[in-house]
Amino acid sequence: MELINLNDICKTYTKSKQPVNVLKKISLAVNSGDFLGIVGASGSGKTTLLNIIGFLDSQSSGDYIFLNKPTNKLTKKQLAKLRTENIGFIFQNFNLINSLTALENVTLPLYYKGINKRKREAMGISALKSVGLEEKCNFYPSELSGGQCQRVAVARAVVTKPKLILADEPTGNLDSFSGETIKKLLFELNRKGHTIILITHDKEFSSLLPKTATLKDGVIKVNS
Amino acid sequence: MEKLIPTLIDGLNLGSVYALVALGYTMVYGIAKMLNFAHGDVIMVGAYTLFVCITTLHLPLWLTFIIAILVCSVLGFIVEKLAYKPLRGSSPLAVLITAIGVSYLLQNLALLFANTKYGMDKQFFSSFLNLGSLKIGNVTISGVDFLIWITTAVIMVGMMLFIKKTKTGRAMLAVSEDKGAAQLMGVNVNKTISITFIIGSALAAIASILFAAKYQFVESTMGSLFGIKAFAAAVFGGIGSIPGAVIGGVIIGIIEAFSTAFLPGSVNAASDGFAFVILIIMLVLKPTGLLGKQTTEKV
Ligand SMILES: Nc1ncnc2c1ncn2[C@@H]1O[C@H](COP(=O)(O)OP(=O)(O)OP(=O)(O)O)[C@@H](O)[C@H]1O
Ligand SMILES: [Mg+2]
Repeated sequence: MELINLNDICKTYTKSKQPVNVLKKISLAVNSGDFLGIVGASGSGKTTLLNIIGFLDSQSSGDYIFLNKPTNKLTKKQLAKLRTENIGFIFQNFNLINSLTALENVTLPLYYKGINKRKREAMGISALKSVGLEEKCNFYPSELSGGQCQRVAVARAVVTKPKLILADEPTGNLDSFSGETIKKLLFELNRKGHTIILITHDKEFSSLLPKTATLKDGVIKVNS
Repeated sequence: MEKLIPTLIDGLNLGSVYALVALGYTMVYGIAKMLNFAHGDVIMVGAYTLFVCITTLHLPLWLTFIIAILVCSVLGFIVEKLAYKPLRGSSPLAVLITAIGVSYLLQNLALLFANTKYGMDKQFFSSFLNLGSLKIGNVTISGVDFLIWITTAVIMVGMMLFIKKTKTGRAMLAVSEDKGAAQLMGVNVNKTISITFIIGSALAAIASILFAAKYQFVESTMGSLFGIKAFAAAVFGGIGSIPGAVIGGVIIGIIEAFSTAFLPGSVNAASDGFAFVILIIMLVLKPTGLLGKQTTEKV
């Protein structure tokens, strides 16, 4: 099943009255169950593309079809709903909330789905278990290592069982050992059926991916 | 020496009122990242509301309190929606100047109202809340004093629990730390900011009730001095910190009471300024305030 279909997506910023074309007619299809790596030099537009895919940013022109529905005419609110229901995010800097414990961080997205407290905790604990951190439930991010923080972030991204996971350099800030753990987790999530789109600068990682696409000067080329 | 205890009581009273206003300041700063300079004026609006309800409309006291809290909450909500929300994302200076503008607007509206209706800006309440008093030795503590302290303590603890335990509270924490991440986890950022303004304004209304019960007057400019002192209290305690705001408020209230009571007449006219001297010393010694957290710069 086709999850994402991008058709001639362009993104143009205006900087000092000069248009800057960051994405030039990007066309890309991602099927349910895919694990796609996006690679390319710094500044080539990877994050911009991922933000458009995750409805965090909008394209300047072109069509984006998500789950067989055009998204052009949707309101901000509808896009936010589509996002919270279908997409989990993982970032380079983890973006955990420091004043909440690991478990509280992981269960936060569940509050907005009308799930009761007992069920939320059970789901949160099982998500933390799936990343091997069930004994760290009550630890705060400042009491966890970078690798552990990123595992909490992975648990938070998957706790709502999203169809799609978007990850922007998830191993970028980690030592190689912690990086390996995150990579293994992502492969496992993909095996369980999550579609993953991931940006990485790690050549070894991208070489293991079934499919990659290279961005260069705003133009995409799918490598197979 | 016999002035010591009454001065302390007075300081605690003033300080508790500052603390309640500081709570609103600190929450709005923490979550919307803006200094709402009009926040002090909400307490003035609350006090005028009480005055109208009690003196002119002769409403039952409980209803008066509810009306004051409602009026202030709605005011906080509207000010945020009309004045601040359109500026989200613009420069902090633009927001600050708008807040100062809102403050002047509220003051002038109140002045206009009071002058037209009562012929004078400053008005006095007849004592409307009488809760008896307690005499220990030669020290008298009134029921209103107790009410002020207990209310402030209960609200502080209540707010801490609210933030830590409830869905809205956690949304507030998330928004205050990382708006972007909060949004991605389904937190409705705009709604959370609205709720914060409503809660802050409701606390200011409670402060106005306690203040009016104790000091029994209202005037259109009372808000700006409250606002500045509450701001000092919030910064002193560590802006963003709830217990910090309360401790800061109480300390500033006590300093003010003692400087008014014990300094010679010529100096004590400047008692309003002493709080700021202490604030400046605090900021030199510990820039994040008493309980403020060191904010770790994001990579
Ligand atoms: N708001 C903006 N205004 C103007 N230009 C922008 C804006 N945001 C991004 N750009 C430009 O778009 C280009 C692509 O940025 P993007 O963040 O997508 O790169 P990237 O491929 O993710 O790079 P990196 O690997 O370093 O993260 C950059 O040249 C950047 O300067
Ligand atoms: Mg990037």
